[in-house]
Amino acid sequence: MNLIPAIDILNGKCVRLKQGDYNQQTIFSDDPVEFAVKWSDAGADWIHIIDLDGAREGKLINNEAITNIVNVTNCSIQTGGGIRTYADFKQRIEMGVNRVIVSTAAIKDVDLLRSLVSTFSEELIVSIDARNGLVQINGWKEETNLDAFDYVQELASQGVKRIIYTDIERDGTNAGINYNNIEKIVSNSHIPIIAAGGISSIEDLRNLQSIGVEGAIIGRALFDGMIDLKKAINLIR
Amino acid sequence: MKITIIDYGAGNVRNVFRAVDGLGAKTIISADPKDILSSDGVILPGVGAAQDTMSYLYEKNLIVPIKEYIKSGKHFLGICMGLQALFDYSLEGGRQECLGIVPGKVVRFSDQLVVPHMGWNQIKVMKKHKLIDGITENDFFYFVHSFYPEPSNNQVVLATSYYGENFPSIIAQNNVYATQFHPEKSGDIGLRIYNNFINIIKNDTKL
Repeated sequence: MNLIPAIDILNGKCVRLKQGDYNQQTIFSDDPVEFAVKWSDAGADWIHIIDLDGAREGKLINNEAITNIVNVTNCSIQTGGGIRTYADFKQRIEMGVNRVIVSTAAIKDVDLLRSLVSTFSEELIVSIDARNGLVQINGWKEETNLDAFDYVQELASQGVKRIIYTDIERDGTNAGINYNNIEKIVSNSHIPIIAAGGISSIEDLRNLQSIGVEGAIIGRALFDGMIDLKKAINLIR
Repeated sequence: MKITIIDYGAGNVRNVFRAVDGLGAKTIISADPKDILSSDGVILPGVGAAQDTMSYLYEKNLIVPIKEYIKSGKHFLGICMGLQALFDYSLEGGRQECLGIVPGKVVRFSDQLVVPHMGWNQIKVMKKHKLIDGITENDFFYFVHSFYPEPSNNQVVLATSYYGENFPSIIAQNNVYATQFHPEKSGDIGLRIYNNFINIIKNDTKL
């Protein structure tokens, strides 16, 4: 299982939001690269970067910070936030990003999803962000009537090869994972799942490993010091 | 038709169950030798280290029943670690004796490569076989492993994959079949492998 540290960028700064709420932010550094280097040194294979400005505005914004992280770390990079068109996706790949995450665009633009699946099947990750079992879009500000569980199956049948499942209610809370939800999603889906939301202890990581997720995205718990990334990587591998 | 997925507490057992259940066979998860011996098809899934898998099979007294089952000529499918367990021994964690059903050993990828080999990869078909009916070299399968098999007899290799070097990714020896990748994580095309396995059993007139 990959342990994937998360770096969220808002106004150029490295922040954590609570439950995706832009009004409940904690700034951890003025320079997102600082933490990227720290996670890279701790042995992370992947870093997960979200352009929160981009997610809110529906376009690419924090390009410079992302480019810097790509250039200075040894990690593979997955990034999302504001990817709405094929050109946006391609631009991220051309920046040297290894995987690009779409969420809103996957739901709203069926043709886009189809062309990404056919051209970038390895690089594409669709993020399913769920609150009360329903998929949320547009920086988690808009609720759809899509059932998260059904939507995973739907995406898999469309040829999507990797999904991030985020439990919004747990995200940024250090409340621990929602074991039952993730177990249900993973055991019923036939593609790799990366889990996010509330991961705050080694026990959470062990549980995720036993469920069989491909990766665990860890955010707040790393910044708050509840999980020591280096130790966790050594324990979980 | 009864299919038993051998339960050894590993992460993907339920995932394999979800993939097989609903394909028209009665499917159970069990570590009971009686279930194994009374099945028409047995699946050994697997994740984790060779040592853990073999100790578990040993503790649950499953080694003899599995060998007996395979000897009876009924159909057996190994997944990932379940493929590696079929060989004579694995070099994972020193040297671990395995089931000794397929001659050969299991070795580690070169130190120059990032392990585990984790992600989607393609196959190169060496031999036609019912297990890979409808599968083409354009299809992708999902892998997570740091070791791969080196069979003594290349005739067992149905397909190879490439990760720094070519390695066998699907094997078949008489009534024993195995994939190094996880069909249960490989989308619709992965499910086809399970479907093909079930069809092999259905079309076996001896059963």
